[in-house]
Amino acid sequence: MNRVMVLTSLLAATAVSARAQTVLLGMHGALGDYREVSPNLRFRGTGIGGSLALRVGRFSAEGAVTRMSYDPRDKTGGDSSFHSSQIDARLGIDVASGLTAEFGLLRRTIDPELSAQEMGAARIGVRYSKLIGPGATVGLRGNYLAGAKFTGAGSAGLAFELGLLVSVGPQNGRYRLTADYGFQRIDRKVKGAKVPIEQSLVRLGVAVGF
Amino acid sequence: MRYTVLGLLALLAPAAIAAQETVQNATLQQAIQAYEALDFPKVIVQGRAALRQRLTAAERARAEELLGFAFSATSQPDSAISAFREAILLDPDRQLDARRVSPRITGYFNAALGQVLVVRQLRVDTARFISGTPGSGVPIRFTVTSPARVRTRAINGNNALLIDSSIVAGTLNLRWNGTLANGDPVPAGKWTIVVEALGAGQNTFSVSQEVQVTAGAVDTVPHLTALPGYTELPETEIPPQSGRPLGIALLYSGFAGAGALALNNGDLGTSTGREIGVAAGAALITGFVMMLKKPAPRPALGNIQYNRLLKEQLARRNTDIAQQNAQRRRQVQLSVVPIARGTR
Repeated sequence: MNRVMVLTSLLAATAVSARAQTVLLGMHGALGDYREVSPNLRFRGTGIGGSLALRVGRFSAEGAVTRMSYDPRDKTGGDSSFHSSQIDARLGIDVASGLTAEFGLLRRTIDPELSAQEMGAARIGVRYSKLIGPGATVGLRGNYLAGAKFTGAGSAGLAFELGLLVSVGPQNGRYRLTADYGFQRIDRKVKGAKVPIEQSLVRLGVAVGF
Repeated sequence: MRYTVLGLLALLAPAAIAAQETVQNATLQQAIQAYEALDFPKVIVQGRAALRQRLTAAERARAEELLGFAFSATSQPDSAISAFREAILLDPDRQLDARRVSPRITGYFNAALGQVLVVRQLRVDTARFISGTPGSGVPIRFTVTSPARVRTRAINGNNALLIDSSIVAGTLNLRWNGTLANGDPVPAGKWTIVVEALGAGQNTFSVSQEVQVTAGAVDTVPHLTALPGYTELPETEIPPQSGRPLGIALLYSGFAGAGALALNNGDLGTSTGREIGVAAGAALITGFVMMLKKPAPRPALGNIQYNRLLKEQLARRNTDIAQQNAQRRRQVQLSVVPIARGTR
């Protein structure tokens, strides 16, 4: 949790100190689907969160915190509900028109502990955004999740994140409606045994620019 | 009969001249009347008699010219040439009208011109120019009747500037650039253009023309705000309304959905697709709204490039103008106006 505060403070400090740039402060509601190990361990949840985004010239920084409450889809299986807190942090640099190289961190904590896998990973990838109208963009994101660590040990040689981004609002950027979909596939293995994780998360929110 | 024909030919020119010149001397008036009556022997007698009297320079030149015409009419070429020569020396700018005078008389007159050294038809034009600029200056032209060393100078008090020195016969066109020996502009005031001709046998002749020189600042050129004939083009353009936004949203949603489906781990079963459905729905709604909305202006790259080149060209032109103006502020514009002889 301390890391969350440090990251948020860092982004906020950067936003305050940097002038003549775009700063977006937002909040969102989220829908999620979380699966782990086998088809029987499936959860569905909702949540809320906040985000902060900053853009200075070719450089951008994004941070989002989402608190989810997951309930088992099969309530007869004895699985218990849990909460997850996911932190997404990304730094980006525009490398071509609409194309941004991204790198950052992913951190997901679980409460109560051991109800699901907590994990952390670095992410590296690209984002491509396309302006489709006045103040409206759609985009695709592809990240590789590198160096994933889990509370239950194990590693993931193959871990991807795929995203669909939608943002619409007035051209002056005063406020924006956002939709951010992220699909994560993490092929976790523990001592050779497959214990995969998948999560689909969509965040619908509003952001205010200043 | 022959005298009559030649006389009629010769009569046309002096008749026109006579109307312009005022003759006070009675003997000369009688000579003119005799000439008009084609009584050439009497013209010769009266003309010679008039020359023995006190005459003005113009009257004397007129008398010699009458004698030249009369001698020409009576087939005395040597005497005619001699009389014309005297007339030219008295009035170097004297000119016969070739349309009114017979070729024979013109020939005698030209022969007389070749036997004397005079500088004729000195003309200094009115001019305004920037002192020291190559090719600029006040035009000066004159005619020298015989080969001679001709020195042309501009004189103002103690300043005597040599404009040209050359051996010439015929018409000479010069240009005075209005600078002192050190390159500075000449001071304003009255200047005299003096042409001196030194011929063979220490034969000399000089003629002069006064000019008024005034000095002023050189006009500077205003900076350009636009290039004449060129206008900037709008740097944005509104694309035509189309289904492209919805198409793009559909395409991106399809990529995301297909990607999620392809990456789905079969060991975990299939996803309900609720999340991608919500996101794709948001994208498609956005695309649909944007399809109905007036498209956003987009940069017109060709126009932007055109405007950039235009601005660069304008900046270059203004830089040149600034340099020219800096130079012009150090320059002096001279106006040279010849002073009419009567106004000296």
